[in-house]
Amino acid sequence: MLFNSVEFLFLFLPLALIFHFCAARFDMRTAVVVTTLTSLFFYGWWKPGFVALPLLSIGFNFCLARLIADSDKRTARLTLILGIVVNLAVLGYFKYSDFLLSIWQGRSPISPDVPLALSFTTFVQIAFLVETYRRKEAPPFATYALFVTFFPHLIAGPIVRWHELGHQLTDKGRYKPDWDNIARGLTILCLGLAKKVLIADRLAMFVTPVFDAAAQGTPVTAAAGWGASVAYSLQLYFDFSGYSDMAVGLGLLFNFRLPINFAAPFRATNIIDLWRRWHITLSRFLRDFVYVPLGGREHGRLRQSASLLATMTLGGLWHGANWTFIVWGAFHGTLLTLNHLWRAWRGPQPDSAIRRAVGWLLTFGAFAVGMTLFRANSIQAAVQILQAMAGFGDATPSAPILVDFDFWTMEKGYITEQFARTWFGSYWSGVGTLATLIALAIALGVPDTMELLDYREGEPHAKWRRRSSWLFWQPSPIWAASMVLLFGAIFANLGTFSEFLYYQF
Amino acid sequence: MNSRGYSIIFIAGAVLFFVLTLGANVVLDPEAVFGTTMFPRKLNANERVFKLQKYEAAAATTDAILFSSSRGNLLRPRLLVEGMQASRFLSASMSYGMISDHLPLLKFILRDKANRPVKLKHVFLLLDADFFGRQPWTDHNINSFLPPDLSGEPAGRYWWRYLTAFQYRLWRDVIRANGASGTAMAAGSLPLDTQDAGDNGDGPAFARQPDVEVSEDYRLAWNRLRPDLKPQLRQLQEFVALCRANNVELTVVASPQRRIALHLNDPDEILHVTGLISQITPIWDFNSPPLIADQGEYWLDNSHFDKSAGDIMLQRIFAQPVPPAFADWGQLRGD
Repeated sequence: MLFNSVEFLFLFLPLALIFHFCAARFDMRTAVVVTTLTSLFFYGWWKPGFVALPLLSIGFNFCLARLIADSDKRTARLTLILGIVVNLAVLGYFKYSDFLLSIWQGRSPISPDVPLALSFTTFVQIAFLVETYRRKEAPPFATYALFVTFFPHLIAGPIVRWHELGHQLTDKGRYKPDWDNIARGLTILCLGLAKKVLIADRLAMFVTPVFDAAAQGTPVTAAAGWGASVAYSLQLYFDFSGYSDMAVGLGLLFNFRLPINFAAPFRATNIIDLWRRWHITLSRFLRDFVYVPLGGREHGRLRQSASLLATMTLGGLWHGANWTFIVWGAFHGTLLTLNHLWRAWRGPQPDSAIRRAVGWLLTFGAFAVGMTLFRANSIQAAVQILQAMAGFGDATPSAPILVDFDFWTMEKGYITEQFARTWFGSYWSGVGTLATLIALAIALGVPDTMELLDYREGEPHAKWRRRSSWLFWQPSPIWAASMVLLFGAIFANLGTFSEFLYYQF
Repeated sequence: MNSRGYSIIFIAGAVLFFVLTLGANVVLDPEAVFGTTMFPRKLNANERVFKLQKYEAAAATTDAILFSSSRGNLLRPRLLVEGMQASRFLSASMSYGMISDHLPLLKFILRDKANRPVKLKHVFLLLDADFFGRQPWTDHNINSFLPPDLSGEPAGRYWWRYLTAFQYRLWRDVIRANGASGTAMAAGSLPLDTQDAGDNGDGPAFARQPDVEVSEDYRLAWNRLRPDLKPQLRQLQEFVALCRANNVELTVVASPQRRIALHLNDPDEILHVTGLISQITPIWDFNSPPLIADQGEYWLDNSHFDKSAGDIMLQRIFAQPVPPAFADWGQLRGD
């Protein structure tokens, strides 16, 4: 079941909320159990058989957590290591075993049938075991089960930590409906849906033909390569940040505050800042559980660079068993290293509009180049597009136009067929370019959901926020009318099946 | 305004959209699945549902069936009845009907016939080699969802999809079409109550369409893609096996192609697809030779041959006299 489906919005969600708060009238524990069950139902909607895996995983990790909490330091440490190894082994078995075998056997990997949410729940539970090791305290089983399975964050994050959500789950005061949170939650949910349904899904139809062509080995033009890469960067941003907004909004409906996952990352003017604002909870996890243990910035520049490279490469691999993700991760590790070296070399620089503009252009350009690797289904396909972006593509103006987005603009005489063939080639279009520019303007110019709602849970720093308080959300008739109209536009576009991009990871 | 009032307005607005959508779908019923008659002209009717209903209404006596796309509407039922020596014939031709539509219906009919005295004796399967292997419409478009009895899908999900689909343009068009009496029906929206009026007879009349110039080379590339070829060959195998297992005589025919269709699909590729089919079951191939491909008088449009061509095809298949020029038209491949 998808957040952007009619059955979720009009059946599952209302019933889950009613069950939760009705159960809470008996006691908190009943509500915890009921919402765990509804979350498992939500998970099982895809493939009921896969429910067994999170159940086993939760049971196993809970037992380890109790053992860690109740035993001496040495045993606790060994148990923690065992827990991390087993969790990673399960993830590795489902997600990477065929990929590793394919390297061994010199063949192409087969796309694995990974149980939904495995990557996210694995990280959530590893972080929990580490926190239990540090705090020497394990929660009741039911609370832990809800912590892991709570459906707003179950499938694609945000990757929550026990110290963020655990205390909320055990706070009796949160088990009564709170109209303020409901109003905010509904607004955030609606804005998240708009990002996904009205923007990300629209961009997808322009992106897909270019990357599909590259996958077939068909040449594309430079404009097509850049257009598709930028459009995909925006598609992924609006898709995943939309999903994360929805998760936060849904959490608020239940009176739980989940951490934000995106902080307008495309406004960043350097790659370090971009990664502090993009998929924040994953970056935080990788920092705390990979980068810092590898040495972080404590052992000199060389060690820091190596740690960064290793962390980002592993981060890339986490996204999927494909060389494209590994190279993408290494690419960003290299960019981060260069950015750190640059800072160390140049020292603090005065701020200026030109510096910001150049910084933004380099940052966003590099990110879009990286997205080519992220989206392409093979290194060869990515190289095909990257070559085109660099002006070394083989696309010819005589190739037929294979997407019909520009036909009406040609009929109206806005552009000529020759212009479209020469610049956009067979797979890109002027309409796609326009849609991409509009989406970019929204990403850069329109305040983010979390700015509008002044929601700050788990944000890395507040410097990213703009001072546009006149736009801030408040429960006013104008906001209510706007949201109802926006929801109407979303509802009219819910018909097409469109999974979230991060479900595949 | 406080948060409570804000939330209530939002929820009420959302529920209103939802309820209005349910209401519009039931009352206007563009796909003709709810059976609502307030707006009788259905612009996007689900022919899959309609064909099942037609069969159920005549299940006791039906002993011969035509499975086809809309091209099958050009085969004269009277000739089919004679050729198949049937007593009660049913046409299961439907727009963009493909093997993925025909197989579930055949399975349903054979299950149903198991408990009836009159068995299914003859099946006439008209396949379109230019569409075979393409992404089927089946369960893709809202007017091509197979009813739960055929698909095995839970009925709740089936009805939920029809109830909750937001189809503003179709609602508007249904209201317009029903408001303007005598307005021509939109393409692909034949009135359901006339489509099968000609069972055992001459079938409905069809207007000849003006020639359409198709010169865009972009179509050529797309038309070569057959992403669903292997699954559809498997479905055909199952179709044939079911007929054999139930002692149903099966006639399989590849519909003729107009030159423009052969050009857009590549004649050799069409022959190749027909060859693959002939490895599963003998097939009457009316592109071998493509005798009427260049004769505009035998075509209603670029896709549909006309009834006179259909008559000759049936005469050839059922070994009846044909005009001398057509003596060699159609080749039984894989026999």
